[in-house]
Amino acid sequence: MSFLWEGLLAITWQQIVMYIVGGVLIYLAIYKDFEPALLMPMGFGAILVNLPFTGVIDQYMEGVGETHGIIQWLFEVGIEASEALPILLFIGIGAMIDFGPLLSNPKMFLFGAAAQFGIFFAIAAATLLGFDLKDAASIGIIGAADGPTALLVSQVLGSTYVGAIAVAAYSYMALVPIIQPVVIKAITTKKERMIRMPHVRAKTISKRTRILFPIMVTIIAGLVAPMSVSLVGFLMFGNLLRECGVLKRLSETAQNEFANIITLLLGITISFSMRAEQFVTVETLMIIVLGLLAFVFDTFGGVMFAKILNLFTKNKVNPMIGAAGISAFPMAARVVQKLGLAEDKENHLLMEAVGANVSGQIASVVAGGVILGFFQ
Amino acid sequence: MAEFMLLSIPWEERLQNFITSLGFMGKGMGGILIVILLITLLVVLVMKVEPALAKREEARKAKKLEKRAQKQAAGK
Repeated sequence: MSFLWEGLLAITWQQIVMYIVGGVLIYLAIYKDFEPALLMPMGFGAILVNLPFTGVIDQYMEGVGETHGIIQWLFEVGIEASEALPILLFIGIGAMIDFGPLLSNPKMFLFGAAAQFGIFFAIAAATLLGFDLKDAASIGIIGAADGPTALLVSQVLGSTYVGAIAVAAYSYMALVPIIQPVVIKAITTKKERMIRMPHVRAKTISKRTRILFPIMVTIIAGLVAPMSVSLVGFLMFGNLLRECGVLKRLSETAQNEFANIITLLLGITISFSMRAEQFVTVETLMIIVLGLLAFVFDTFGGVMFAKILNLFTKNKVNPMIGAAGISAFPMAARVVQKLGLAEDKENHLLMEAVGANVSGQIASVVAGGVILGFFQ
Repeated sequence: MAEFMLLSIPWEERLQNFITSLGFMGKGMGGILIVILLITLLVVLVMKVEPALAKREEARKAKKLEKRAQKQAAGK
């Protein structure tokens, strides 16, 4: 009978905390619809890897010998050894993105760059809290508002906080509709939020431009920030699949089955870094706070950039558009549209906000590459 | 315990890392902006050239059709 008790008695309080964390993630995914595709597998995985003597992790067990666990294998092969899972996911993401609204209004590109400010603010704050530079950079990248980029950068930099970073990145992406309105309202006046922008006609973007765009972006990013090539390259490869017009079947596979399989594996694989001894620390709490700061200052950076731009331009930009420059798509664009309509029922900002939002998707992967470049 | 590890990091080291991180901020935002500006410029350029290219292509197609029509007419 003793073997029945062995497992129960081996549970530590940290593991109990992880069961609660797992439960909360599953609850948020199922009942609050917060990034369910990732938070649900991560939540379940958090429980799975924290069961005493769990068979999903490599370990030496008395009387059994060495056991090989599937989650540890997936982590070692899919993330640690090659970063394959987050990078491959970019093919699917690229195939899903329509850059049309951005190409119709290229000015929106700039907001994607400005809204990466939170990354660097969080890095600076993390260093003051005592994190070393690599860990600080890994934490700051939560502000990319881009789960795969955050995972990749923290993994390449060898951070010990990959689990906490992933949880923070995906949770805050889901919380964009709650975080951003508070920040936007705090730093803009009603008058600014009511600024109407000259309506940009949705131009028909030629097929040639749509095909040239991913190729140009890859070459430029590759030349200026070579470390971003794996991220930008795979994102743009996915987009080229979509836009070339002759690979419809592959594009659809990349958008659906392929992205789904990778997402499914990615969520459960990340849970390897959510083992109690690694996750239940004060640092995790700090990372959660720093992640929030990163999102807040992304929004701040974007909005302030728009305000500065307004000082020099004739056609005023609604500063809220700057907030849509973060990568969380399409949540950030929807937030801006909703806030615009709340102030003025006829102020439709969706077109411009979507443009800034997809620009954020490019800027966030470039930011990931730039940060990796610092440690080359 | 891990929670004491961060507290034990001396302030000189933190400040040094902080200053480096400010450098990252400048270089990082600058780097991102350069990439984005270059992309924007190229996109604007392509969008400017695009109508002319499309026009030329259309003219070429029209010429081809005209030639074909002429050939057909001559054949008759």
